[in-house]
Amino acid sequence: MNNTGKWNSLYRVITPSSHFRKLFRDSLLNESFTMAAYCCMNVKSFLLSLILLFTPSSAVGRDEFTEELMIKPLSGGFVYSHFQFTTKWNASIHDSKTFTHFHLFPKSLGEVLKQYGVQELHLSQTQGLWRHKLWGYPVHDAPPGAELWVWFKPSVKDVNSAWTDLVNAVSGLFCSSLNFLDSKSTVIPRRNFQPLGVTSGPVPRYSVRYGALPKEIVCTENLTPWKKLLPCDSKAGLSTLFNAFLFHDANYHSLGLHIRPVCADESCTEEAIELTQSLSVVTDVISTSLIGSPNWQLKSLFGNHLASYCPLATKSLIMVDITSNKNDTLFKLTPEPSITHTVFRGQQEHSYATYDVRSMLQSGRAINVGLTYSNNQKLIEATPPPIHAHRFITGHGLEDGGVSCLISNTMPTNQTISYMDVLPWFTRVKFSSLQVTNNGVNVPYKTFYLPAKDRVRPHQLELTFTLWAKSVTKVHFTFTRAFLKWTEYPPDAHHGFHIGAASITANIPSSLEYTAPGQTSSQLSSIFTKKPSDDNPRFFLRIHTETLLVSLPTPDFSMPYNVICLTCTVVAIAFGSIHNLTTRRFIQLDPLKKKGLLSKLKALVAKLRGGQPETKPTSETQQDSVSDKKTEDLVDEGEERS
Amino acid sequence: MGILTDETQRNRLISLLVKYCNKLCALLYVVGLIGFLAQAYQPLNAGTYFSENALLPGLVETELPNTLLSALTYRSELEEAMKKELSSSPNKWVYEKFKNIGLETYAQNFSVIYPFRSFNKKVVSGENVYAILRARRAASTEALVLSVPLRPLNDKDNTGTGGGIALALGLAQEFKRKPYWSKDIIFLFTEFDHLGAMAWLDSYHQTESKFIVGNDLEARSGPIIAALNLELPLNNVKYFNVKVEGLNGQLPNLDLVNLVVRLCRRERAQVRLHNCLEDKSYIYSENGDSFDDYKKALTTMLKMMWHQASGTPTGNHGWFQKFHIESVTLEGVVKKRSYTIDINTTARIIEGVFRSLNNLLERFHQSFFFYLLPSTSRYKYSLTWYGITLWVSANESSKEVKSEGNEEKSEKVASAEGQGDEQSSTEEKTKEKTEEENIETAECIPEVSQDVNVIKKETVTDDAVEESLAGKGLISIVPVMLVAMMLGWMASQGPELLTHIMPNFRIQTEDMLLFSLLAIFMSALAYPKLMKNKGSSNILSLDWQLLKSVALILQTLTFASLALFNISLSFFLTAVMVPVTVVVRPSANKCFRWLQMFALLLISPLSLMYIVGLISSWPKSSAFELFLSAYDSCKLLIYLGVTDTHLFNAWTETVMTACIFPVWLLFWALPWIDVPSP
Repeated sequence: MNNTGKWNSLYRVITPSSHFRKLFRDSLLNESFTMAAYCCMNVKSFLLSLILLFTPSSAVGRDEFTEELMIKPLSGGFVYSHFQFTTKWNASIHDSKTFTHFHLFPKSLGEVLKQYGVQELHLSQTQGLWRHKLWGYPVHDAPPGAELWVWFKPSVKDVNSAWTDLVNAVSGLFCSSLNFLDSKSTVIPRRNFQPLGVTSGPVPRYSVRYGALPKEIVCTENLTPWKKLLPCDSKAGLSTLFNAFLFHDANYHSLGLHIRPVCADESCTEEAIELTQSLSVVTDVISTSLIGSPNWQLKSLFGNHLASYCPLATKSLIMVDITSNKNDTLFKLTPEPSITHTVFRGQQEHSYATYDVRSMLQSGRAINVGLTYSNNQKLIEATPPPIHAHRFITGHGLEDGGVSCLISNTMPTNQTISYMDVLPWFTRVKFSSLQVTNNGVNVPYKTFYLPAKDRVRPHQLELTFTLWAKSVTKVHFTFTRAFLKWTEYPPDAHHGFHIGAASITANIPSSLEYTAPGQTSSQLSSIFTKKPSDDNPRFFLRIHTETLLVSLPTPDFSMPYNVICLTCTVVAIAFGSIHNLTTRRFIQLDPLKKKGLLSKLKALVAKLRGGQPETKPTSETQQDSVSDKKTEDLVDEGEERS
Repeated sequence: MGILTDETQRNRLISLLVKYCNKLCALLYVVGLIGFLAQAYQPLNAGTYFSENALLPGLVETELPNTLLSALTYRSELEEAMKKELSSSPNKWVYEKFKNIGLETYAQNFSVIYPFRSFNKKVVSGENVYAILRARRAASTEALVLSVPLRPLNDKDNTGTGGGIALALGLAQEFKRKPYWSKDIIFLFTEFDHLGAMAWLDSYHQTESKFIVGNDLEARSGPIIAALNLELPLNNVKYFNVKVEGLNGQLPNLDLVNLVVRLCRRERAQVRLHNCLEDKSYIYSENGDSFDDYKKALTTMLKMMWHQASGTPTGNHGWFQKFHIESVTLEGVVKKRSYTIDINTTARIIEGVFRSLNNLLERFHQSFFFYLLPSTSRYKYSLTWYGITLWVSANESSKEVKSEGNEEKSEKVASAEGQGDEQSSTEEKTKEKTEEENIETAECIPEVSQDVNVIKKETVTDDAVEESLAGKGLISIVPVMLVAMMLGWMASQGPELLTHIMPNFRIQTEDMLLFSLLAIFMSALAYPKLMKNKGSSNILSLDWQLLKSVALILQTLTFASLALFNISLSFFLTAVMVPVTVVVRPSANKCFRWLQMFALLLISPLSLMYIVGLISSWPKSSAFELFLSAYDSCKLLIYLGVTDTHLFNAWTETVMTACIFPVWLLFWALPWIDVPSP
């Protein structure tokens, strides 16, 4: 039957790898476990499960895994490669029984989701900056560093503690320092970061948390745990192309992990859980190639050609975005693609050359997709995307500063956007200085602003305003730099402090330079299937701006400074007493000589109290001062008693 | 503490000080001056060293090819392109070349609005070109700048910078292929040297400027950590000058200077400070203590101080320093028919500098920001020598204050004989006050005046002295001070106001400025005459001791605070002004009075400017020619000073007019005061 064919092909691919035997066994074990659970329920189902045991494909019908690689040649000889691994699990995230049996969905992740009541989770770990103006839009936009935003289920009562626990768990899972996402860098977005998946009714506004670590450095130690979540790890399929060495040499490199509830089917009567793992790389082909040529192949991009596909995947696909190749004059692809899809998304036409990895490998060849320019001097020209932004620090000096964000709208229509900026508490934002201007004219805006509390929470600024057609809108505000406590400075205090990226969210009518699939499915191949709602679509867009680096007034932590401080303290303490001691003059006084009125009085009082007056002191200190007769009265009382 | 300390001992010290005040003043002045200049003597200064370990200069192997062919090709292409258009800068050519290399390249237009109304100056507009090499692994959070001024080939005043442009292009091509950059590198080409640089920097930081208006930049990188400015002619570079002096006497971090010097040395390229040749022996502390070496080092140090004192940058690097960007200029000096440094050596030096800067994890903060260089590899930490300038001036004035106080006292004693015990106790108190003044020389203006007030009050209560003190008290000198301050304000604001108000004479702005300043100066000269009290028969009756004390304290304050940001300016002013200002006093002797006036005129800000002009145009064939060219350069100096204040926020002109001038005016009043002949 169909199944046997599947199994054969599975074995053919698997046999070289002992790992896959293990994996296969695991999955079998898993199913027998399932069987045991079923047989407890009733005897009839035992038979059913016996059948299930021998027809694995129907038993795992609830999980669907696809692997896709989209390659998009960019302007200036850059190449954008986007690996995407999507696991769709036809089970409800809200059902508590869901996370008891796992098949393709990673168990470690599922347990975390269950434990902390997560409804949606979006994590990105990025190195480098995506340059929208030159490269268009990526599938998943991510700011430099790490970013995590999570929607908790409405049933979660204490969201704050759930968030704290979750970031610790996730940081352990991905070997990153997400545990630094404390209250000082976490906000509750009010307008931005709405749920991306399906929701059953309105969600409580306060169940969302957003945090970013702009300084987080992404490295192979993050890639390893990330790829271990894939059903085939990096042993078979597209993930065999992962070459940490080349990825980290690239101009941009982003790991993403997105979990959201989606509709199980078109009718949307049942829920499914969708896990999307993505890895994006932008390679500067000209600079990395020895001869400076803009042509590339899989082998030059990833160090290897593709020799296997993941047997657990229902679909293995390589697609090359050839939209820029009008009339096939600019470049040529080798080998010839299996199918070329041309779709209209909104007004724009997009073309994709697709390679079905499975069928190509079955015909016995390793795949090495390559692109050759017909003229090495004539490369793709950069088309500025509909909306792009540029954010920077203004001013100089260590007292005040400002943040400006220039948002360009290249479309011929007005566009409403939502802007969110989170600044740490030590950049004290002056809300009164906030200005949204377009060519010098003030733009009306709706705002949500939550001022910071020192060492407790950051500044949160959310703006909604309209970008006028074909113009640049400027958001500007100023801040004062705070002086930190000396223990709050990091070891590299003079390096400066990072401020996270601002994010811009919009639903744009144009799909120019747009790469992400629609809202219903994260699978890249879903771009090809045209839906009836696509006639006049809006494309959901979220872009991130640059992260910023601000220097704060920093004390001199160098050794001479410490020595000076220490010496000054010691001198100040020692000086007083020594000076006092050395400038006093000790004079012997004759006690029999006539005394002052006060001491006489005291002696009298002492006499009245204790009967006998104390023996008179032999010497008394006299404070040396202006020679006044009254100084004798200043004789210390305590001294006298001793 | 007062009642705990021994009064009599301190009184002894004070009386001693008062007794030898004049001798001490002279001694301290001489010691201070000699001490300062002795710093160039090799055993008294230290060898430079790297404080910032992250720089690791010279540790990296060069990755440039032995001959940087691209730079050579660019050089010949540029030469051809520039010969085609002699009078224009090669902006377009540079823009095209960078675009071809594949870097993000942008142009920025700017225009300079002339700060004064004038008939013959039009709006200057230019174009900067810049290209950003994005570091592969960084998110554009930090940047380095390699800047080269664009100059047309027929620019007579300045040498060409074609070598720098060719090198920047060649290096950009090489740098682009390297994966190790952690900071973006911005290649900046500025038209009209400093105007372009300022326009670009202002736009980069979005700081508003009234007069230099630059278009908004299309792209930026993060905060700029350091900048290297190249002024390399196309061919025949004999040796390099490293230029450090920036705006308002600011200096780059010594680590950056060391870095450039060290890397030049490593490539066996000669590097100098202000064209001063230096001996190896002086640098490496082997027998560098001969008198000849000292003379050379002193010349170098004085040259550096001279440029620093001017407050105007010696190159484009100076404008970066305003934005807290450490920067130096590497200038190639041409000499034909001798050994020349080839373009590959220079490329290796620049590569080394940038790779060292690339290693930086933090901003420059380790090494010195206040220093003087008697040679490229010897330095003197200048903050320690605040002492000298500060103490010279401070002591002078405090001594003077004391002696005034003393004289006052004796006067008082003389006038109020037989007052007995009470009077002596008052005297003691006054002594105490003067002591306090002595302790806190620098920050005690209000206190001093308070103290003086106390003295006055006490004296005033003495009914015996009332009539002789008619013109005394702080009130008496307030008008003089107010007028002096007013004139200072006028001098700093006047020229600009005048150029706006005045009818449009057809004269050059330079002349206009000079004449307006001259007018203010002349009217200021007459102010003591005008202020003479009508009632008391042409006698400017005021407490001259008090006036002089206040003036000296003000002078000390000015110089001391000036020393904190521009030690050289403060040093020169102290050395010139203090001897005169300390000596000057009212005198019955007409001859002595005229002499004083002449001396005061000689050290007036305007004549100081003329002297500076004289020095800068020193070697001339005849005296007349010298004076004439000194006049011209003085005029230019004033003009540049005023325009720099407007365009770049330079402080020198403001300091001279608003601080030094009023203080000088206070002293100017002194010889005009009549004292009864003894």
